[in-house]
Amino acid sequence: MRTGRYTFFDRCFENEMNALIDLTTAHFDATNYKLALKTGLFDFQNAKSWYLVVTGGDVHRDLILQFIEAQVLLITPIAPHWSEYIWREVLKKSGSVQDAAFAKPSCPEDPVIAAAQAYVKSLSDAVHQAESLQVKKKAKGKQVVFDPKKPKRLSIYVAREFPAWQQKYIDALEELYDEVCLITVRH
Amino acid sequence: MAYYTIAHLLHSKIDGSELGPANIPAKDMTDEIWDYIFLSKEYPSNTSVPESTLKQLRNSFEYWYPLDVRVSGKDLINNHLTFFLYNHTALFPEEYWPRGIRTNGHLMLNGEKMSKSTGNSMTLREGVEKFGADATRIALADAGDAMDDANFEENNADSAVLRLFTEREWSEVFDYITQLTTGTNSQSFEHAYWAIYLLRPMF
Repeated sequence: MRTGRYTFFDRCFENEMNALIDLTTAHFDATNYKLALKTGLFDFQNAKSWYLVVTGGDVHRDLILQFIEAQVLLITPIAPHWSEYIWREVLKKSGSVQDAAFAKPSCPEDPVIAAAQAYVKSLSDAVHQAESLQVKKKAKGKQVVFDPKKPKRLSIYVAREFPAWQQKYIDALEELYDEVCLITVRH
Repeated sequence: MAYYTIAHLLHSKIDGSELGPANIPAKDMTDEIWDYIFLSKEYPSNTSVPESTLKQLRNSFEYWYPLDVRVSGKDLINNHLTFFLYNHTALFPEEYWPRGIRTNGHLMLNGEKMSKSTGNSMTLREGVEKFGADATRIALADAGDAMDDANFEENNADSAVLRLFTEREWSEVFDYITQLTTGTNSQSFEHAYWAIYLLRPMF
């Protein structure tokens, strides 16, 4: 259990929690309880599962505490008895969870972190998909180089820049956008 | 709905067989008295009900009105809810018009219509006895929003029981580990053993 500075995955997890707290608050305000349950319980739990997997269990103490407390508060309107138990017996809070203020994000959602996390997720999904595709092919008796018994090596290639022919048009677009601040697309 | 704001003062039994704290028999509730309560008209001269009692009724109405939200089924949009709007606009000034209406679909059980003849039914009390209050509430919240027919799935209530149980256990184990790691021996065998629990895929 770590303390101290946040790593990249710590910041992703914190940011995802903050985004889900905001979403859940909005769903409760709109009396959309199914959606509030989705973002406040199911998605919130998935965020934790992802964090446990990517950190290999090497989690930050403060974030886990933050998670348990926020989870209790988000679900209190729907599961008040369970929440009361965790609030008093596990978190050792004085008083009832019914008197506590609703969950608040620790800071506003950072779209840059969210985008970075989405990129990492989609990349790791792509890797898993590529692997399972090989396994399926092998199961069907097709000839593949992939051998699941052998140690694996993964190479990831990253382009730091767009290809020149694309960059040319991005530059052109940027120039126009700065000049008129409006682009009209005609079909 | 305006009547709800004073009903508890007019009768203490739902069928009206016993008078409420205001102690006014039904026959004494004249049109003028209703106007006094709901429309702030003058205290009528032809009544034996004391003004202080009527003031109490009026206060209760003015405290609660306008209503924030009326919740009803989608089958009542064409009749009850429409006339609810007509009546309020006809009788009351704009400040007492309803602020919101929320409608819901019918509640299904395990994907089938609830009905007496097929026996496909469950009362709230039966739900609570079977799954506990919190899991029942989770399955109800998960049943659906808005106008679509909501569907209470017993499987969802079952998995909610498991979900709440494992999450409680996980939180308790974490609590235990933080106590261990605040000591000096954070690499102990016991720590490693419990850390396995943290890593279990949740639900």
